[in-house]
Amino acid sequence: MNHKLRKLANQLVVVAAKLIGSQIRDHRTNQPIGKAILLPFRGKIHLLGYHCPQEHGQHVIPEFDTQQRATYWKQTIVFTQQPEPDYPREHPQRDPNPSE
Amino acid sequence: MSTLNVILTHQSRAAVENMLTHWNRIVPIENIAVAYGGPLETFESIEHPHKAFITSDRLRTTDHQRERQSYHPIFQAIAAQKLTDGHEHVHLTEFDHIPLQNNINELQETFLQNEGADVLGYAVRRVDRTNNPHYLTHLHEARFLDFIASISVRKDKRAIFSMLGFGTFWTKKAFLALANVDEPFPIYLEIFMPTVAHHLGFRLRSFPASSYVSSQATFSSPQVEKAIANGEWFVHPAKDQWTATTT
Repeated sequence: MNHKLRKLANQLVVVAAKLIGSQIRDHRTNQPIGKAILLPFRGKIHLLGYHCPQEHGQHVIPEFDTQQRATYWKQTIVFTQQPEPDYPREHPQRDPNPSE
Repeated sequence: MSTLNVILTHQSRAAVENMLTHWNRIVPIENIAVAYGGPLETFESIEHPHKAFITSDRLRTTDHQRERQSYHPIFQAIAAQKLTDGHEHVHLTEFDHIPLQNNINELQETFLQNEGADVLGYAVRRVDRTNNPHYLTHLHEARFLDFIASISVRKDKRAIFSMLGFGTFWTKKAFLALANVDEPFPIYLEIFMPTVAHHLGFRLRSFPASSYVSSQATFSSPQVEKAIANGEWFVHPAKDQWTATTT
């Protein structure tokens, strides 16, 4: 029962995030990359009900935004994503021979 | 070129026979191997020359994500039985990932070649520094990054990847290299397969998302008929395909 209640509560958060969550945009491309409720609590920022419209989801990276002019009273946390993996094949390096 | 299609199933003997009949219409019987995760008696009754019984608890999980289900025992069993001999590629898939095109392995081989890749999968993503829950729960253990660093030939030893478990496609070299790496502690298959392959030096690429239809529909449905006509490669997850029909 406890498990069922917890599952129901989780689903409600996901539904609430879809309805009233903040639109999250990729800071680099300005493309929408999902919705979530951002909740500051006890010195942490919690991301609740993150939902990405793309199939299987692409996850987000939080980071502080750069500043053209130094402002001491405000910094902004933005979101971005990892690029599509496109790394070349790499062969193992030969072990260095200690006698060389 | 030839591809070994390793199909993971736990279904009844009749369902496995239906599945093999369908696959054998598309590829020669010697290009199909069954990785069986069901009861031993059923495995023994399956009349197929290329089969492996997977006993490991790492495959037989209930809550797959939280118990960190692993396909590594399949890699090891296929390698130990030398079932990849005579093949250049391995297609590791699940019973509910149904091929729709008669030249399916040719389509996969050509895509792999065009991408210059060693491993293809669905939804291949780089997930380090993100909110990906599998990444975060593995990162919680210091030994995870230590393990990756211990096998890596890459400069960036913190790069972590994710891909879906079904329908992965490998060069034989990459498949056997992964089989040869010991899983030192439980690592979820969606993280283990792409991350270890990348850090062994192999090139990962994603299949086009449009190469499969996400549906539980079986062959008789109009949706699947339309998918075949549109040139889609697979339908997934059609869990009732082999139990609901005789092919």
